[in-house]
Amino acid sequence: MSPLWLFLPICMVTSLVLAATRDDRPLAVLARGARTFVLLSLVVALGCATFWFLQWAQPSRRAFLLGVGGVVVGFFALHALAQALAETPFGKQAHDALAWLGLAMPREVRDGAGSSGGPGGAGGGGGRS
Amino acid sequence: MAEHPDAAPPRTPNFLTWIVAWVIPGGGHVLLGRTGKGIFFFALLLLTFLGGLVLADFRTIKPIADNPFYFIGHFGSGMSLGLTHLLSRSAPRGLVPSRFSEAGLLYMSVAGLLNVLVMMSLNAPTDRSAPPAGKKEGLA
Repeated sequence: MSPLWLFLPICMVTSLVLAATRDDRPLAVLARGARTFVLLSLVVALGCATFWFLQWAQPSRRAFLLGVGGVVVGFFALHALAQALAETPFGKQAHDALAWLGLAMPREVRDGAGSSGGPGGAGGGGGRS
Repeated sequence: MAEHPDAAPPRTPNFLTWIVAWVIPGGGHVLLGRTGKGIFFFALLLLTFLGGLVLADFRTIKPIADNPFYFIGHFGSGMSLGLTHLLSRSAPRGLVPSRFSEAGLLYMSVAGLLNVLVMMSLNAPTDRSAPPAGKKEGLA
């Protein structure tokens, strides 16, 4: 197996490409890329930890499938919970945090995007400030 | 048609642009006038591909049976596909793969797949060349 640090350059390149596809300003690309890099590295670390845990625990096929099912069900449960909390102050703060990390569209952009599609861009000012 | 004073009208990619973007990473952006971004993508993906080649000791995946995931990744860009094809015709350097060969193949495959993402961004509406009027320029 390859050393773990070899995944870091891949995460860095992927983060920079992702950031550059979403912004044109060099400093903003660097800032967004740095945040995405941290997140991607965490995801890779989580994946590796899961892999090592599975190697260590040697689960049976039934236990493995139950674990995967639990993760899938848990994901949808968390998604439903996030939807329910989206309009609460906590949900808005959480959304802002995700947007800052580059994982969600900022609320101003999201709220303004729906009304700015018409000719002339007449509806672009609907965003909350 | 009214023109925006602070932004040039976006140029839509045509068939040639897509072809160039597939063959040369970032080439489509250069054709659309986004030269800096095109050069950035080209340098980044070329370095990733070359880094993978070095790590893999200049071995590449030839048949799809070797590893279908890495093989498919090469199709992401003409550059990686062509270089892979050229290098796979040369004789292998040794019988024992290098210690980092798996990581090297991953680098090359990711470089190809990222070019697909770069191509998709050719007509992405999320590109921002300047902050919108009336909004502060914070971290994007």
